[in-house]
Amino acid sequence: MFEKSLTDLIRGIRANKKNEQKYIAACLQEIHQEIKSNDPDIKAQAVSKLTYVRGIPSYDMSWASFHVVEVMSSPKYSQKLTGYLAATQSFRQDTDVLMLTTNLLKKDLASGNHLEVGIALNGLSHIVTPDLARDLCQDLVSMLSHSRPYVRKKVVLVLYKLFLKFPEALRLSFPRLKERLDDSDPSVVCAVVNVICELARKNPKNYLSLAPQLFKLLNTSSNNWMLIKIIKLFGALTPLEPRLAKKLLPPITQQIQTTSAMSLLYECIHTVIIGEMLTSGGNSDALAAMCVSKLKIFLEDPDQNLKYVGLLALSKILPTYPKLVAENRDIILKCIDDHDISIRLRALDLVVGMVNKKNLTDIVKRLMSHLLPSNNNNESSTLPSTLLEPAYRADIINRIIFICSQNSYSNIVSFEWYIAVLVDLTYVAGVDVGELLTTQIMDVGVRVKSVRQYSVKAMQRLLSDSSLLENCQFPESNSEVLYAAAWITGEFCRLYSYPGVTKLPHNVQAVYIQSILKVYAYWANSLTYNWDEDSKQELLRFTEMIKDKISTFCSSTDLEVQERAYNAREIFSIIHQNLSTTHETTFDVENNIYSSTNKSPSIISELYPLFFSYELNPVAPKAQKKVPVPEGLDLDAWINEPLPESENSESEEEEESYGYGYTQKFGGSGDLIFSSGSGTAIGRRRDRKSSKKGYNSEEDEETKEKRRRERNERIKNDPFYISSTGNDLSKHSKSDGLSKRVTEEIDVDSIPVVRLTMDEFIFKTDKKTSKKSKASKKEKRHSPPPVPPVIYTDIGEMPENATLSDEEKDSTKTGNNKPIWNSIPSQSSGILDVDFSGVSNVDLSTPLGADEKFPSMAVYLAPEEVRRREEERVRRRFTERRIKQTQESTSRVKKSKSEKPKSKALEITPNTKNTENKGEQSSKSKKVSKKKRTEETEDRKKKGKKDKGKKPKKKNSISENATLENHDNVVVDEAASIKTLVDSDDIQVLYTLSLGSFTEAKNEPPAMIADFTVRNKCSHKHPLSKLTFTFESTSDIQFDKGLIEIGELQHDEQKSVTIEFKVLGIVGAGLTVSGNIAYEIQSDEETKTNADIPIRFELPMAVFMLNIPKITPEEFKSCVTKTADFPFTGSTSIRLNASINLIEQSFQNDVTRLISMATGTHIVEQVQGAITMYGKSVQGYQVAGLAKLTVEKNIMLVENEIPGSAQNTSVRIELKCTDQAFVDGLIREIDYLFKEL
Amino acid sequence: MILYLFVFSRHGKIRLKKWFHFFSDKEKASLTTDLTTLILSRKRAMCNVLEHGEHKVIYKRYASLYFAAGIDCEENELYVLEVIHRYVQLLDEFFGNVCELDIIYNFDKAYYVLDELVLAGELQEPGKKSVIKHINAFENACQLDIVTRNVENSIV
Repeated sequence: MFEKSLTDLIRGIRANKKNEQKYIAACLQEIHQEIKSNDPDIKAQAVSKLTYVRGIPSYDMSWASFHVVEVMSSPKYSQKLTGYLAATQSFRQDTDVLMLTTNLLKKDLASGNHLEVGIALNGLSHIVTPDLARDLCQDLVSMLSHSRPYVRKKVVLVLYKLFLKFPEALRLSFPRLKERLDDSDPSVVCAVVNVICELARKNPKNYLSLAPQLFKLLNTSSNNWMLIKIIKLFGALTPLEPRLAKKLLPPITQQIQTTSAMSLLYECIHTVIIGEMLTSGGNSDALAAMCVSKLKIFLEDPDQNLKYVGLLALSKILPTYPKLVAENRDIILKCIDDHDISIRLRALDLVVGMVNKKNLTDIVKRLMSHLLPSNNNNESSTLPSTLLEPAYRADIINRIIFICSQNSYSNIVSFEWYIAVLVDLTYVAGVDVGELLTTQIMDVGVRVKSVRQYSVKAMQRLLSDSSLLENCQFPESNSEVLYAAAWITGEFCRLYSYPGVTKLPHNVQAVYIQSILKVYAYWANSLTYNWDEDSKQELLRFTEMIKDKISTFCSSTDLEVQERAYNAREIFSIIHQNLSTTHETTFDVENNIYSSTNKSPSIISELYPLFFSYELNPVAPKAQKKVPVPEGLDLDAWINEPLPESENSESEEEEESYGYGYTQKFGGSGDLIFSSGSGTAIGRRRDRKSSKKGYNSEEDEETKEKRRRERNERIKNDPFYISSTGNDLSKHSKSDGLSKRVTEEIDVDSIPVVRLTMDEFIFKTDKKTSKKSKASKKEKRHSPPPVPPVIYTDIGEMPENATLSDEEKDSTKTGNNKPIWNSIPSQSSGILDVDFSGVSNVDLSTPLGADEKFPSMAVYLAPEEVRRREEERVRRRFTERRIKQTQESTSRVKKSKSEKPKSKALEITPNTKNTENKGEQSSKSKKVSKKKRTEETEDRKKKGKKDKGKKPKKKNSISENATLENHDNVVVDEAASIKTLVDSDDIQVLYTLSLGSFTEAKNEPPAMIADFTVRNKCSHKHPLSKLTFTFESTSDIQFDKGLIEIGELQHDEQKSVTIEFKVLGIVGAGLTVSGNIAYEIQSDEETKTNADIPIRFELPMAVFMLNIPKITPEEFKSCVTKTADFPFTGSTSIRLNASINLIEQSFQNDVTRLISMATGTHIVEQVQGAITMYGKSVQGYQVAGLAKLTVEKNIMLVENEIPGSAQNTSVRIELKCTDQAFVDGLIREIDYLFKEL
Repeated sequence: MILYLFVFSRHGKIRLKKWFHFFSDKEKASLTTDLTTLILSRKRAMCNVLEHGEHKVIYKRYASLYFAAGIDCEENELYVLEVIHRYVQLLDEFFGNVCELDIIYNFDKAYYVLDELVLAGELQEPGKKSVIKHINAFENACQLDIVTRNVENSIV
C-alpha cells in the first residue's frame, strides 16, 4: 500500500537530477515487483510508471509486455486507458504478445461504451500487424456504420493503417468506405477524405471515380482542413484526367482569390502547379501569372515559413514558366544568402534553373562565398553549424559545377574564369569533390582550345603548390586534382612557355611520370631548333637528373607507377646513351662534318611525334562503334579455319550475338548505312540473304550436312537447350523438300547476318555535309552565342566515315538535361521506405467478385473458440515435429526389423484365420503368431542346439526362443500385450504398458504403468550386477522416480519391476519413453564389463483407451450425432491381399479385430462389410470409428463371384475424435500396424 | 501524413513522443537525438521547416517547449503547423493555461488529447469543441473509476 504513485515517481526523478540513472534503476526494481501484483490498481500504476520511465530513452520495457496486455484487459476504464497507452508506446511489430490481443481488441471494439471503443481503435492504429489486420478487418468494416460518428471517424482512419498491413482489405471494404463520403457528420467525411488522399497518392487511378463526389464537397464545404485535403487529392487525380483539370479551375481560382488562409492558398497554388492544370487550360498564362504574383506575396512576407513554401512552389513552376520565376530574381538571390538552410536550399534550386550568361558569374560568386570561411566575424557567428557541414558544401559545389556545365557550358562566357573557379574550388572545397573537379578540368581543357594555355598555367601553379601535396592524405584536400593538372600539363605542354622540368614535384603519381616524358619530349624537341653544345649539355644534365629521380619510382608499391617508371627510365637511359655516343662521334668527325653537331640526335626528334603527332580532342561517346570496317576485312570469314570441336563451342555464341545484332544493335545505324545502298528494307534484306546463300552454296552440301549433324549432336547434350532431337532426326531421315525447308529454317547457317562491305558505302561523299547540317541544327537549338572560344559541344571526335544517328543525339540530349546534383539527395537511405506496394497494387476498378470475402467468416468468434483454435495450431506444430522425429526412429526400427528373416509378409489367409484366436489376440506383433505356426520346427531346432550345448550365435534364434518361452506366460489382455524392449546376448527385457490408477478427476495427466520383465540370459552364465533402469523425464512424460535399481541377476533369473509415469504432453503420435539400462557382467573374478543399453519405446494410443462397457448401436448413434464432441477426423485405407472368397470372412475376423485393437476401441456393431467402433480414452476423449470394406472397380465382379480378380480390396477406416493429436496418432498406428502385416 | 510528433523542452528533454509511422528502434533513437539538436540550433527568426533526409520536420516553439512533427514531403507544411497549433490550443484549454509541468506530470493526458486530435497520422477532428468534449468525457470516466474504487475500498 506504500507504492510510489506516478506523480511521486516523476517528482523523485526531477529531484534526483544528479543521479537520475540510479534513482530510475531503483524505481524499476520496485516496478518489477509491483507489476506482478495481483491488485489491478497497483499493476496499472506500475505500467503507467513504466510508460513514463520508458519515455526516457534507453529503458526497454519489452519484458513487461505481458503485463501491459493484462492491464489492457482490465474492465476499469482508467486502467484500460493506461494499458493501451503503454501498448502504443512500447509494442513493436514483432512483440510476441500481440497475438494475444486479438480477442481483447475484438471485445473492446464491440463494447457498448464508445469511449472504450475509441481507446481500442486508437491502440489498434499503433499496434496493428498483418495478422491483427486480417483478423479484425471484418469487425472494423462493420463498424463503419456505427451509430456514433465518434467511432465512425476513428474506424475510417484506422482502416488506412489496416490497408497498409493487409492490402486485400482495401478492395473488400472500399465500397463501404466510399459510402462514408456522404456521411452526415462532417468529421467523418473529413476522415474519409484524409484516407483517400493518402491512398490516392500511391495509386490515383483507383479513385478517379470519386471525382464527382469530391467536387461537390469542394464546392459546398467551408472547412479549410478538409478543403486542403480535397484539393491535394485532386492534385493527384488531375494528371490522369485532363478534363478534370478544366472543371476544377473555376473553384480553385476562386479559392486562390478569396481565401485568407495561407495554408489553403498555398495548397491551391501547389495543386495548380503539380496537377498540370497550367498546361491544360486555355488561359493558363493568366493563371500562372496569378499564382506567381500570389507567391510573390509569400516571398515578401516577413514570415519565413511563407517564404519557404513560396520558394518551394516556385521551384515547381520553374520548368514550365521560367520567365515568371525570373521576375522574382532579386528576392530569390537574396534568399541564397539567408541564414536559414531550409530557405537557402530551396532558393538554390531556383537559382540553378535561373542561370543565364549574364548572371552566371554573379551567382557563382555568391555561391563561392558560401564556401569561403567568412572573414567577417559577425557573419560567422550567426552562421548555423549546418552551413559548414560537408554535405552542404558538397551540394553547393555540385550545383556550381552543374550550372556552369549545363547545356555544354553554354552559359560560360569566359572559360579562363571557369578554370580559375575550378582551381579556387580545389582550395576552398573542404570536402571530397576531387573526382568531379578533375573531370571538369580535363573536360574543359580538352574541349576548349582557347583556354588550354591558360589552364596549363593554372595547372602548373597547382602542381607547384606544396600545400596540396602536404595534405594529400586527407580526402578533403582534393589532391586528385593533381591528376588533371599533371595530365593537362603533359598533354598541352607546347603551350607551356617554360618547361620547368625541375619544378615538377618528386613524389607524384603515375600520370606524372608519363607527363614528364611528354614534357621532356616537347622540350627536347624544341631544343633541336637551335641545337648547340650548350643545349646538348643541358639536355644531358636534365636527362641524367630525371633518370635518377625516376629510378626512385621504380620501387613504388603501386604497380602502374612502377611500370611507367621503368618505361620512362629505359627511354631516358637510351637517350642518355645516345647523346653521349653522338657526342663522341661528333667529336671525332668534327673536322669533316662540322654541320653534324648542329644536327640534333635523331632520337630526340623521334621522341616528339611519339606523343604529339596528333592533337587530342574529345571523342564522341559512340565513336568506337562507328569505326567503319575497312575494305577487305570480312568479319565473317574465318581467319583460321577452326577445328570442329572449337567450332562447336564457339559458334553458338556467335549465332546468338549475330541474331541479336541484326535486330537490335545494328538496327539504327545499319539501316542508315545501307539506306543509300539498295532500295527498301525488305529488298535490302533479301539482297543480303541471297548473297549469304551464295556464300553458303560455295560449301558443298556435304559439309553443310555434316555441320548440321554436329550441331544437333551438340544441342542434344546441352542442358540449356530444349531438345527436339526426335523431331530433328525424323526430319533428317526424310529428305523431301518440305521437311528440309523446315530444318533449313532452324538451321543457323542460314540466319541472315549483316555483312559490312565497303562497296556499299556510297554515302561517304555525303558525310561531311550531313555532319555539318546536324551541327548547325544543334547550334540553332542551343543558340549558343558567337563566342570566340571553340567549344566541342555536342559531338566529339568521330572516326572517319562514321555518321551520326538520331538515337545518339537523343541520348546526349537527355544526358545533358539530367542534373548532376540530383543524385545527391536520393543517396540518403529511406527512412520512409514503407512498402506501399501492397496498397498501391490493389485494383478497385473491378467489382467485387462473389468469392471475395473477408478472411474470417464468423462475425465474432467466441473468445473460447479463438483460444481453442490457437491451441490447435500449437498442437499441430507439436505433432508435426513429433511425426518427423518418429519417422526417423521408425525408419531406424524398420531397418533393424528387416534384418530379421521370414517374419514379414503375413497374409491374411484362411490359414491364419484358423489359427488359435488366442494366439492372434495375444500378440499385436505378427512375430508371435508366425512362430506359432512354425512352433514345431523351431522347437526341434532349439533342442538340437541345446543338445549341442552351444550357445546359439544368431540373435534371431535367441529372440525367437525367448519370445517363445515367454509366450505361454503371457496373460492375454487386449490392452496390455508384451513387447520386447531389449534383447541382447546378455539380457532380455520385455515390457507391458497399462493405464495407471485412474480417477475421473479432469485435468489430471494420465498415469501409465510399465511392467518390465528382465531376464539374465548371459551366454556364459555370468551374473549381472548393478542392474539399473534410468528414465528421462521429458516435457511430455514425467517419471516420479526415474531410477530403478534391480541389483543382481543370476543366470536365467527373471525379475519384474514396475515404473509409473505421467503423460503430461499432448497424447498423439510419437510419444516415446526413453532411458537406458546399465549393468555389469562379472565374467570372471577379475573382469567386469559394463554395459549401457539405451531403451526407447513408444506409447501406443490404445494404451490410453479405457475399458468401458460396450455401448449399444443406438447409444453410438446418438453419441456420434453430437458433432461437437467429435470435431476432428482422420481416415486411412488399407489394402488387403486376400482372395475373393475369403474377403468377407477375413475382414470380419482379422481386420476388424486388428483395427479395434490398434485403436483400443471395441466394436459396437458389425454388419456385412462394415463395422462401427467406439472407445473412450483416459483423458475423456471419445473415439468413434467406421471401417468399411470397399472393393474398387471390381465390385461387380465380386458380386458375380468371379474369383481371383478382386485385387483392389481395401478397408476404409474413418475415425472421429475429440482431439486432433489423438486421432492422428490412432490413424498412424493403424497404418503402421498394417504396413507390418 | 504526420509521421511522428515530439514535444521537447528547451534543454532537449523529450516530454512526449508519438510515432504514427512504423520506425525501427534505431531510427527512433537517431531521429529524436538528431532533431532535438538540429532544431535547438536554429534561430527564432528562421522558418519552421527543416528538411531532414527524405522527409521534413515542422516545428514550432511555444514558451519553453518545442513541438516538432515529421511529415512526408507531400504534406502541406502550413497545414501541419496549424495542426500543431491546434494541439497546443487544446492542451491549453484542457489544462487551463498549460505549462511544461502540466505535460510532465500529466503526460498520459497529453497523449489522450493528441490521440483525440490525430489518429493514424491524420487529423481526425477539425472541430475544437468536439475534441474537448471527448477529452472531458475521458476525464470524467476516469474520475468515476476512482470514486467507485474508493467506495469499494471503504465497503471492504
